[in-house]
Amino acid sequence: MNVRIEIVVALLFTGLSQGAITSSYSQSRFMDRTGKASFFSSAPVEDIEAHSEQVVAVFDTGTGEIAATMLMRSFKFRKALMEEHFNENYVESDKYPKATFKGKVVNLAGFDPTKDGLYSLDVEGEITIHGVTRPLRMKAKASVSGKTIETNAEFPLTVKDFKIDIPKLVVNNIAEVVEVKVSFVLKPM
Amino acid sequence: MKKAIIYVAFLILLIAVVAGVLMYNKPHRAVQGEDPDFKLSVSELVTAFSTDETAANARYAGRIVEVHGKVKEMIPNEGSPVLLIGDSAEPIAVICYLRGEERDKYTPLAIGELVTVKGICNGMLLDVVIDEAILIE
Repeated sequence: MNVRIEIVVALLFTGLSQGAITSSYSQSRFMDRTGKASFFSSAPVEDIEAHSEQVVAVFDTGTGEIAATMLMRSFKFRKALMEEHFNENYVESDKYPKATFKGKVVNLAGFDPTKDGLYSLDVEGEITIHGVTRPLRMKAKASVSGKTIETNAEFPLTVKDFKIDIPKLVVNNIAEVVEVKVSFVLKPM
Repeated sequence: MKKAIIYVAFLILLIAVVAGVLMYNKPHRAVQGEDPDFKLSVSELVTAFSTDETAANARYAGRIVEVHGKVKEMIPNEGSPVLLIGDSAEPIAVICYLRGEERDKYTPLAIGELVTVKGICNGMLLDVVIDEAILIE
């Protein structure tokens, strides 16, 4: 396996379990380097949505560990001005270029990556955005087909939790809670 | 006199509204037709990021860069066709998310071919990311 990928995977998993990083589980690792993420904000004045296809995600089916990282700057908006405000004023992409998630599937017992089918995964972990780390739980759907695992999940995030200040002037333009969607097509590494 | 003040006030208001609407609808940054802020080889860009990611981010992130190198991998994708450019011996490459309309130029490319790509540098994940990219040659 690519040395760089090994390093990044190690970094992604740091703090979870060092054992998973050493190669004993490497055959159970799946990755998507062009994963998708989007968020939707519904407020009285306008609806805002943004999409990115630049998420790297790794899932270790042996340990249940999941890690994902993305560049905030990769979110695309309908309006250039929204994109500018998002990067410069809200998430401060220069200071905090990445968002990361590290977590674990807690109901791994029922999941068999060698058996085609649909699974429901309970994921618990921590998400870091704008330099602030918060606990996060979600239900993810996983569909195994051959050697590919397609997963998707939706979860709400409260903007305020991440110390993102929304000026009073635009308080009616941006929702307090945004709906986040992620989807990955994971393939063996 | 009073009339004049009303006219001027109205004019200012009109300008403000027009400026506001123009600002709100300001177009997305077009890479096409814009001169790159930096022109360099893939290995130079990769070295910059692997040596000091923070410094490289400050220098390149959000800027238009033009890089040249060899095609390492192609991921056709649904939205943006993706091109990995770099030396096959090097662990880090440059991952380019091309604009959708570049697909015609993208499809005939082959692994190992020399390409020049211009786009907006987003930073580094597994590889250095270039977004909104267009193929120059």
